[in-house]
Amino acid sequence: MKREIREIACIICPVGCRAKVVLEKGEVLSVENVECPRGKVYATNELTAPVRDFFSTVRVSGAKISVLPVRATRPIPKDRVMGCARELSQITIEAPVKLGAVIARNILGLGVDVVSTRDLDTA
Amino acid sequence: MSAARSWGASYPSASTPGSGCNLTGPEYVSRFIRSAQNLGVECLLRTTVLKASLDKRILAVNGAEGILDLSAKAVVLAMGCRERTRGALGIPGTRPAGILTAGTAQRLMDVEGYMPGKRVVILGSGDVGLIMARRFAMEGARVLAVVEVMPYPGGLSRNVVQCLDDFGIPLLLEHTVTRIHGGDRLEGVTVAEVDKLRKPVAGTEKTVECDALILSVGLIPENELSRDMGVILDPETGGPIVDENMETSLEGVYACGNVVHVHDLVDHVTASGEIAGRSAARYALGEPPRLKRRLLVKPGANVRYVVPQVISGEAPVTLHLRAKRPERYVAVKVGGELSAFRRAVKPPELVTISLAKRVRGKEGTVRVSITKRSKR
Amino acid sequence: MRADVAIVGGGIVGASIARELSRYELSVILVEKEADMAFGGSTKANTGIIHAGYDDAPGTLKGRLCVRGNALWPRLAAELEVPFERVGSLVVALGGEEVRALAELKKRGEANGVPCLNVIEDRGRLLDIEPNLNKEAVAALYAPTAGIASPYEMAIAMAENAVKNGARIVLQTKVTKVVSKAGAVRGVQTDKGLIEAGCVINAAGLFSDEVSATAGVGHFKIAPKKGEYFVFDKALSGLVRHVLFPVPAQLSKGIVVTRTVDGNLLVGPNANSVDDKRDSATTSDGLEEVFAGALKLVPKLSSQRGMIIASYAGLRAESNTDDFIVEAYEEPSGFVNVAGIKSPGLTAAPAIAEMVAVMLEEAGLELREKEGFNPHRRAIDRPVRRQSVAEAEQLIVRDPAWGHVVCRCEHVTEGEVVEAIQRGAATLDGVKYRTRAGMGRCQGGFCAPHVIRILSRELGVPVTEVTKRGGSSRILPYEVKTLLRRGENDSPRS
Repeated sequence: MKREIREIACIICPVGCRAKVVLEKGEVLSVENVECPRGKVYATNELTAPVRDFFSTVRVSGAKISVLPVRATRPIPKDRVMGCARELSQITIEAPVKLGAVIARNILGLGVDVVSTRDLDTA
Repeated sequence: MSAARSWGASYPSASTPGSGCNLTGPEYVSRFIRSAQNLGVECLLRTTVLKASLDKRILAVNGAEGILDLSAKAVVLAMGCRERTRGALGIPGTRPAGILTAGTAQRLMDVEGYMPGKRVVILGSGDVGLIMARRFAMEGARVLAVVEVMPYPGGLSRNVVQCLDDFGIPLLLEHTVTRIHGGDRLEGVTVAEVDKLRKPVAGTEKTVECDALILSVGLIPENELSRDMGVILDPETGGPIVDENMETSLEGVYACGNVVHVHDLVDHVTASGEIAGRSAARYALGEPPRLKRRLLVKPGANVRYVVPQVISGEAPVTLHLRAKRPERYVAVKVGGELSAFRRAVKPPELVTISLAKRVRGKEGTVRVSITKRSKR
Repeated sequence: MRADVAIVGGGIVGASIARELSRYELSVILVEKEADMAFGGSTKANTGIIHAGYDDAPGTLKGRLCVRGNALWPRLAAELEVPFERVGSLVVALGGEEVRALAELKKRGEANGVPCLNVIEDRGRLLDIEPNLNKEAVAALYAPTAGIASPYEMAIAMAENAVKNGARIVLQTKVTKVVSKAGAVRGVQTDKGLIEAGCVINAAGLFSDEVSATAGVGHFKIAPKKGEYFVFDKALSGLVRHVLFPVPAQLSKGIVVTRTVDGNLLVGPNANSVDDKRDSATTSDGLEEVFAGALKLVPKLSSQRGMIIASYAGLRAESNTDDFIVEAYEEPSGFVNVAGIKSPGLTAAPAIAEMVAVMLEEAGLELREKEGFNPHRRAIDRPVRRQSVAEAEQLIVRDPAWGHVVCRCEHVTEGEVVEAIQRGAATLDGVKYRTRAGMGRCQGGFCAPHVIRILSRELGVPVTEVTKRGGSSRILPYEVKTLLRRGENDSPRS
């Protein structure tokens, strides 16, 4: 069985332990060199199914400002971040917009919505 | 009162400013905006304070009301910071279009909807610079490098990973921009290695072709009005000396947020604002909060500054300090007594110490120090 | 296009000549290749000193025109409502040999007609009048008629007044050739067409030799000499009271420390030859040289590097002749050169303009005084900046834009920005030179987005087309999302 050892810097606290993760067939067998359990969880997730909180913007018309801040309702796979950004670049939403309003439903079929993170009135 | 066009002007963008909460900047601010409005606070936007004086007289102006001449019972200074500029850095070269500070670039991108270029170099790896690297990348620009003069990044490790590594953006530590090129528009920058004294090393220069140079090279507390009023400033923080009630050297004048010192997490900014607001309200109502005793908090070993600079030592207080140098496994001592352990301290990351017990001072002074201890 | 007189160049010299000639029943066209007046390499970067006139030898044009110009400045500044202060200057001697030089300068100045020159040899008195002067100073030549002014504000004000009095200004128009026929000037060929004129005045600064050569007059060459500067925060404006000079070196008046008329502290310029007439880049060595020079006069500046807010460089149009070139020619007749105008060019400009008018008259051009000539030009009102409450309220009541501060550092309101645009600013720098928006300690960090938006609105152009100083200097070339939509610049990890 082919084992792989990957090193990854943990970002949970300022120490920044360099976790040594042993993987086999994409599964984490062990995590060494971390000083706390949170680090272990982080390293495990990062190397098997890394996700990211997604924040971006969409164009908005009819308001005092031209750009609306949005976010995904749940973290999305790290490798889909640019895809979502490109998807959102096609959208121009019309004011007024309420905080939490859905801008893009089930973006890229990821089962996650992208919503507005602010109220925005018409100009 | 604010000169900006909307509230929460420093957090327009899509980013998580705090550690504990999972909100974006705008979401975080909107809660406070709603709360203030519900409480009937009169909020004046596009209003600029022209002058503030010792006697708490404020001269301000806006388009709707003209000149406002106010006599305040209490004042809270919350002017935040301005960004260090290319001019202040003195980077040699030409003066083309395409050079912006990170905060201004963020405002233009995430509020106005415009970008200064598509091939970007960012100078400075503080959190603002790192976040802008990600913003540019996510808006389809090519971020060619983040250039950092120190041997370690200026921002949180989390941001190095999520803003640079995620996008394949090179971080050039111990490098700086030594020259700017371009006629009408920016055409490139010269990047060179620096030595231990942060001076460029001859022969290491490389030219990077770019059309936008984004500067994230320091925030400077904006204390013009504080100086106007005669408030005493701390040369290390760049902001007013404050006590645990966030009161400055002037009675009834309080300060909070980045105008006091550069914070890294919004949670701390909020906490300081709540203290300042509460203190100012009590002062205005005729029950000025006073310290039972005044102990001067002085920075000791490996501490650049501590805020607040004056405490009573009798009430619970949160101290914010900045280390001068990175260090692993340290003890933070307050007045010679061990107060906390930290696995690591780094200058960019504020160290927060909550003091619950009584603090004993020595000749009216309490020294705060960071010293190495053995790994337990 | 046709005029009696065509002036080539919109720097301080061209502007002065245009304003002077607008007194007369003449049609005048000023042609400037950049996007605005004073946008070339020299005027806007000038130190802004109105020299007393002891630097140049008696009998030279420089000597004569400097003293005459100095005398004209106060009234001109009042008529055109541009800031000017007669703060006086000190040429500082730091050692024994330098004191001899001061006596020389005094003698020269007196021969030129400079009033009230005085060598102060009492160190105590020197430090009394200039407390932060180097304590090693042994003596200084005090010239009370020296002053400080804003070179670009004066050029712009002169242009406005000239236009008010009937002159025309064409910008972004480059003169390629002086056209003459049968030994007489016919006009100028430009990249936008021919302008016919019986008189052509060449005030093209750095490029005046090239323009002159097209007229067949090639007896001089212009070699650019760069001068670099530091600008300090206004918090230091009280550091020096006079314009401080070192004892002059061979090549230049030396590195100066002065307050500016706007309240900043200015240090510079050095003097280094460069090959390229467009090379106005600052250099690491040059800036160090400037700072070191400043420390000789005000050692206290060594701890004030953190108060620097800007640095820049300008280019002197230095000719290979010893003196100003202000000449009319037999052939082609009607052609006048006003070239090699470096220091004391700003001071001399009004006197140069007078001299040119006289030359034109002597060459046969009739100069009849215009009846409705109005020497007054109203400056843009800035009551908010001056904290003039009643005046500010009046303006704000009529138009709220005068209460909306867009430049926090310099307290410039939207009203002023709009007026600057109405007066001809079409670029970010054009607004900057007319209002000071962007010249404060944040260097445009707060105001640039506002000013760009206002320019876009007032000029009816998309934000993406707004420029810093014309040409290709677009500040925000892309709307968000356009790069993503184009699919360019995909980062490796996506």
